[in-house]
Amino acid sequence: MKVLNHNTFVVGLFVVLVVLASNTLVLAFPPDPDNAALLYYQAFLLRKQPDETMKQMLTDLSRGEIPVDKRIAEYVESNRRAIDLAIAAADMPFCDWGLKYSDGWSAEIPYLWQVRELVRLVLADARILADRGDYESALDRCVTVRKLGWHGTADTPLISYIVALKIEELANNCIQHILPSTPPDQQTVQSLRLRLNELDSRSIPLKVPVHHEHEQIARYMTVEKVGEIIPLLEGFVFAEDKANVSIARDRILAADERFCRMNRDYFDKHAAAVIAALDLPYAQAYGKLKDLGDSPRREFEKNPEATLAAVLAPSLDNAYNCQVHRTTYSNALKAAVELYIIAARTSQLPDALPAGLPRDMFSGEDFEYQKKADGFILRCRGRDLKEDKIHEYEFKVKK
Amino acid sequence: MRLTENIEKFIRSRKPHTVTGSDTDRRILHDSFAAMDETIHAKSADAKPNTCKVIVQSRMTKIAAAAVIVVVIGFAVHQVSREQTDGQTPSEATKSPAEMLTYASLTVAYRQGGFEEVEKQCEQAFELLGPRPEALSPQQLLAEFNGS
Repeated sequence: MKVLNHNTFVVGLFVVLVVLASNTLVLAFPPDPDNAALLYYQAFLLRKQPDETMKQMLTDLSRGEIPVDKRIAEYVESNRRAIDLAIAAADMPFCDWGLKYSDGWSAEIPYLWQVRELVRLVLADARILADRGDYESALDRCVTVRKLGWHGTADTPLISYIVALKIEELANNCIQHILPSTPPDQQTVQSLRLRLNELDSRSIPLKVPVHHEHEQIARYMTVEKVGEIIPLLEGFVFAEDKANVSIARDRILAADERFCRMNRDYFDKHAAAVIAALDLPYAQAYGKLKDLGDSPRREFEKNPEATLAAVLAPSLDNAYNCQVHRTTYSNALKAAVELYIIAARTSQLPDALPAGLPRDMFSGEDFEYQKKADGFILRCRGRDLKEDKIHEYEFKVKK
Repeated sequence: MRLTENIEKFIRSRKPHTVTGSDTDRRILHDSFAAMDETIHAKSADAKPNTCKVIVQSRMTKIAAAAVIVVVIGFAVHQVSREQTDGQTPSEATKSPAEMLTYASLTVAYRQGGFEEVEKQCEQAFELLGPRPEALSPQQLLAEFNGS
């Protein structure tokens, strides 16, 4: 009896605690969302639609092609809430855009362009802040844009990755133009160094979206789904070649289990070779990716097993080159920041490039450093094989 | 000198082998009247109502013919544009903004024209979506929800 009473008491106490805990949960003030995408979506909704003239002016200002204008400043100010939301979102580590992966190629990615528009707005704000002399906030905005770009790739389709690389270039360009106007105080530049270093943990290697793209393609290599490829034939590879479209269509329409299995095996080998190529030094990787991009199309006519790879597998030499170029630019910026810090500390630029700075990704070596009367140049030692040029980045230093 | 004598003199000097005289005058006059009669007869036969001519000259027929020409031209233009659309890639053909922003559509745009083509396509999609209101007050929102 005593035991029974004791058990009843414990159960009762447990129930009371559960009820109290659940009430506490209900009454507790809800926290901010932990998904940056929710704040970005709000920023998209609150961003005022610019007219054509304003859109062009924003683009030009964000690229530093026109000076700050009163009308642009007013427009940017009228979007302050959207900018604040973008800044808050960019600082959050987690971002899930809610892409409906199960829709495969039909999944919509409408946020991609909205991210780009928001970037234009924040970069225009950075230029305005720099014009007003608030360089630290201006540089912060540029870093925000870099974060925003990488959040844009959080769902990792290859196309989002390409957009993020473009955004990174725009932000770097803005930093490169604001830095020379910055007074030579260590605090501003050190703060920038800290924020740029934070970005290292955010960047996603090209392998991730490539792997994602491969998985997406492989899902269509089944008897049930292979027919869905037909509308994509012309757009994906054979825009200029009606005969190949016809051959591919006939093969896909006649596809059976064996055809799909053989194509999948061919594609898996191709995908593994692509992923392995990404680990090679730049020149070899670029050459190998270019060759791999062409090989399924070369074999297509004679080898039916190469059909689906020829239609769907992306040629990655361009994306890879773009990624190496952007990373090199970001590294040049980080190396330049170190030189600005030295200049701020010693009132002069060093005669040689300090050891251990971020490298030129085209050669895998340190940048070539050239000191000038009004600043310095960081020059790549390796050639960009796609653009067939040696990139160099010039930085002015305020006396 | 009289006009008749002048003509006779002219003929005698230029056409010496031609014989002039009252017989010749009579014959010429006879031939002239015969030719005149023939012409008058032909004209009066032409003046009779012709069904074909009536139909061709009718206003309704002209309108109908113009309509047929318009329809034929329209059909031809439609056929040509359809053939062109059939030959276009999915990114070029007319699509809804949602279709223009799919993974496939954007990938096609990138593969065909790089980042610039992606930008162009997104711009077009948002242009098709139309302008958004600059601001929406709570009153406007309530009015929307209440259906008024």
